[in-house]
Amino acid sequence: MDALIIETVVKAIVVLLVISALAGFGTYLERKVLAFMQRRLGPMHVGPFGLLQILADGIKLFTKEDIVPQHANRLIFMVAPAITAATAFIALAAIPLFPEFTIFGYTIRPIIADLNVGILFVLGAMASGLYGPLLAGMAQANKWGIIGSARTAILFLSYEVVTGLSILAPIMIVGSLSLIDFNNAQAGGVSDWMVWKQPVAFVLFLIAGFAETNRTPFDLLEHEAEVISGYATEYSGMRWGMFFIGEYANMITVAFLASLVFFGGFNPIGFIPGFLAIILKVSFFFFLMLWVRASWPHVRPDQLMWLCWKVLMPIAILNILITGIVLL
Amino acid sequence: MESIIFFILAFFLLSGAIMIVFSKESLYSAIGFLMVMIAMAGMFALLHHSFLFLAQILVGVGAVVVLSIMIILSINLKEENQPKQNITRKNILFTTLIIAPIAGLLLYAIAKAPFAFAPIAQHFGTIETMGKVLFTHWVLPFEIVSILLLGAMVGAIVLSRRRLHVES
Repeated sequence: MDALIIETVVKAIVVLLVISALAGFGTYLERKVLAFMQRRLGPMHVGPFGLLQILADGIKLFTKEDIVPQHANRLIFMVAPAITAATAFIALAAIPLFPEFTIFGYTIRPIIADLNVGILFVLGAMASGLYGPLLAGMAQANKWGIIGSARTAILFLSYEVVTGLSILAPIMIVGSLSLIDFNNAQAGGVSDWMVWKQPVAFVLFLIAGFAETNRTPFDLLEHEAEVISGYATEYSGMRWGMFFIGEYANMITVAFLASLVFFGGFNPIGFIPGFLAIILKVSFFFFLMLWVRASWPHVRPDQLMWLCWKVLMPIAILNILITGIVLL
Repeated sequence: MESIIFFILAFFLLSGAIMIVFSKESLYSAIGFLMVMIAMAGMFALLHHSFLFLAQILVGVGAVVVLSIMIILSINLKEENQPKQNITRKNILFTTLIIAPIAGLLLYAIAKAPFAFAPIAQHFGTIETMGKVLFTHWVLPFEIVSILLLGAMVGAIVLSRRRLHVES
């Protein structure tokens, strides 16, 4: 019992540190990828290839003055960024990150909490993440913040439905909610991947995942040209940084979910071992998010609602219906 | 270990409930509501009922509280706009009279409850068992509830449409 607790705590700390570091590295990658796609060079001057830019940004964020606006609701204003970051990491707790491996004769399963309802837990924890932007926007005495938080509530509530419905069809095929079962169900190589059986569900999940992580075609919450920074208008320093870390952790979570549910998880592909396979898949989905950001403009709020309720949701329900009939 | 977690959850549940009733600012009441919902989910998880735990997180935390915060946001509730309600002796007496039967019933139920519980079955609270029970033993109430929800949904759409029509 004690060994289990110690092991869980160690795993949680490792995941927390690694994902936070990756979030910092993710900003660098995002700037570089976007720059190359737009025929620029991106960060160049700090360190080799601009790599120390991450460190410079980190120092700047940590040392920046922490301003709380005069009429803001102090307590909620200060707690809200922590909610975003915390829920993003809680969602990661139920994800099997790598295959089992052995260190010093001690077998480690790289999953913090092996729940038998893992996939719903991840979706639920990510859905609770909307309290961060929602409360942040309401607590600051700023009209952009209010608009931002209203948009947050609408966007997250609507796209949660699509995420849940799109992932229901693969759940029906596998017959389990455990992400490890999903991984094991696709153990037979590339031809066994869920994406060949459920291409529609995959596309729906990807679109809804972009919306839930607040990525570009749907990043209406902090759309510069319309609402300044939305919920993050009044934030500075590390509180703003926590929103950022939460967003990048959510991107990594969605990338893991997509590769575990639809792309064969951490099963080895041919000569590529399992842990490398999943790193490649997750990096691909991360890159896809940046690629889409460079390629597509934003949507309007009314287009966002139209897309969710009149296009994606009917398709998702039809997909579930057809899957059910085929399975019967 | 379990009792420590239980007391932490109970602390959050009760303090959230007290916050709902006593805070003057409606946003704090909503956050109290959120605390109650999350602590309830934790209680379900402590009872090994994974289905109710997830339903509570997905529906209670993810939708119900969000909608109530959304309402606070859209009607701009402020402390000075709310009616003044002083706690007078008459109010306390009246509330006590209303609450007394419910409190008595609760006390009766708690006193009657058997406190020697059998150990939980192997598949207690999983989605499979919940689904089987819902679609065999409780299928009629389940369907009636879904028709009720459908009626409420249609009613809400009709009501909101009518107002738009009048305005135009």
